[in-house]
Amino acid sequence: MLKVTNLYKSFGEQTVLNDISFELASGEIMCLRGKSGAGKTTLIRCICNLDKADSGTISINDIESLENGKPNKAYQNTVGMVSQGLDLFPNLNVMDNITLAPVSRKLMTKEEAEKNAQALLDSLEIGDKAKSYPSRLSGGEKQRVAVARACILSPSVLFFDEPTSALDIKATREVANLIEDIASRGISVVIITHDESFCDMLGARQIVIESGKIAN
Amino acid sequence: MEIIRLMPRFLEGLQLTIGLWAIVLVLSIPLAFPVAFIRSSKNKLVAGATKFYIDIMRGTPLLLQMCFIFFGLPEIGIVFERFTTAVVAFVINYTAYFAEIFRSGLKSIDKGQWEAGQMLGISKPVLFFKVILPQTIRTVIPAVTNEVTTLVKDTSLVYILGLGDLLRQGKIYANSLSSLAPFVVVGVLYFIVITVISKGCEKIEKSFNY
Repeated sequence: MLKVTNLYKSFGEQTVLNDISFELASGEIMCLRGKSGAGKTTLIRCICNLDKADSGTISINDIESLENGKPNKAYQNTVGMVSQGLDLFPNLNVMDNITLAPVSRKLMTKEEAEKNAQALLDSLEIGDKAKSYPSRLSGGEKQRVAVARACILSPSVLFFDEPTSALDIKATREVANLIEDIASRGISVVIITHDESFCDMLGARQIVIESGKIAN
Repeated sequence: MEIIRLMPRFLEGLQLTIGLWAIVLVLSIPLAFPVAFIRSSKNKLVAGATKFYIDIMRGTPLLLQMCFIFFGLPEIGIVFERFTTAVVAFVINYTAYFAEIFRSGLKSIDKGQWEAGQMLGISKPVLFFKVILPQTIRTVIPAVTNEVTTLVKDTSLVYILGLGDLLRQGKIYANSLSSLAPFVVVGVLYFIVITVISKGCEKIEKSFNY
């Protein structure tokens, strides 16, 4: 499944990732914990090909993240991300947010994409929000839309960057349920968080990053 | 009564004013997008050249630029007819201003939007036209509205080329009638045109209400 081997990354003089290696099984939930600035976000940005590691390899189902030094498209299809800011497209309604990628990439017809999107929204209990714009949604609803947008492309691994920052206990519990639901569909989930109790709530394997190194 | 008799003359002037305004907008707004992109280019040479062009356009009076094109360029064999001179000068000048507005609009879009598109495998052109451009347009509408209304008033500078725009007609008849009434008529006409344009821009801004 996901395999990260000897990953290094520096910004100028500062080494942000220092020999990171780990593996993740299919359908497994894993938490990446660590203080701010420890290198958690840089690590998943490298895994998602948003940043380029200085050295080391990353693969999912034996497909390498890079091909001749450039992002590998076949690999890119296997990763999805729900970023901290969620980054929904504010000018598109929920349905268009979700269907833009599969339709513009000709992976599905518009009808197929809308049918799949509606099924996803229904399963996430926001089926009635398809025509709403992101600005009209609550924080939790926005997060579900971001999940649906990533899931419609059937990724093998889904990354969450700080999904519970600024959430109360009840909302945090809902996010945990959501993540367990995603994992039960066979999607591996990696969560960046500084919230230890959230990791305990999920009963997930934890990797602690300190100064760019795995500390546990 | 004299004013009513002269109304067709004022409307002729108004026609030239609005015609020039429309042609300049239709040409300079589409041109400004590529200029904004080139200005933001990582290639320092082309970005620097574009910045130099924008600095010259913003740093010198439009009137002077028009004089340069009409009286200066013939020295090297480039001759434009009067109205074409006005169009060329205004388009070159306003493209520079619009490009800077669009550049700031593009910069204001969160880079998370580009990254979300990249993560979803959406091609850059699709992402630009479906996601980035609509958000940019919404952001820049107030600044563009300012420029668009200023352009209506700036067209009066074509008097230097001897073109009979609205203000020039007013001046001619104010002199011949020894009266301020033609100026009042001109002022009212400008005000009506600009109010209609502002309302139009407001409507466009509201249509981006998401």
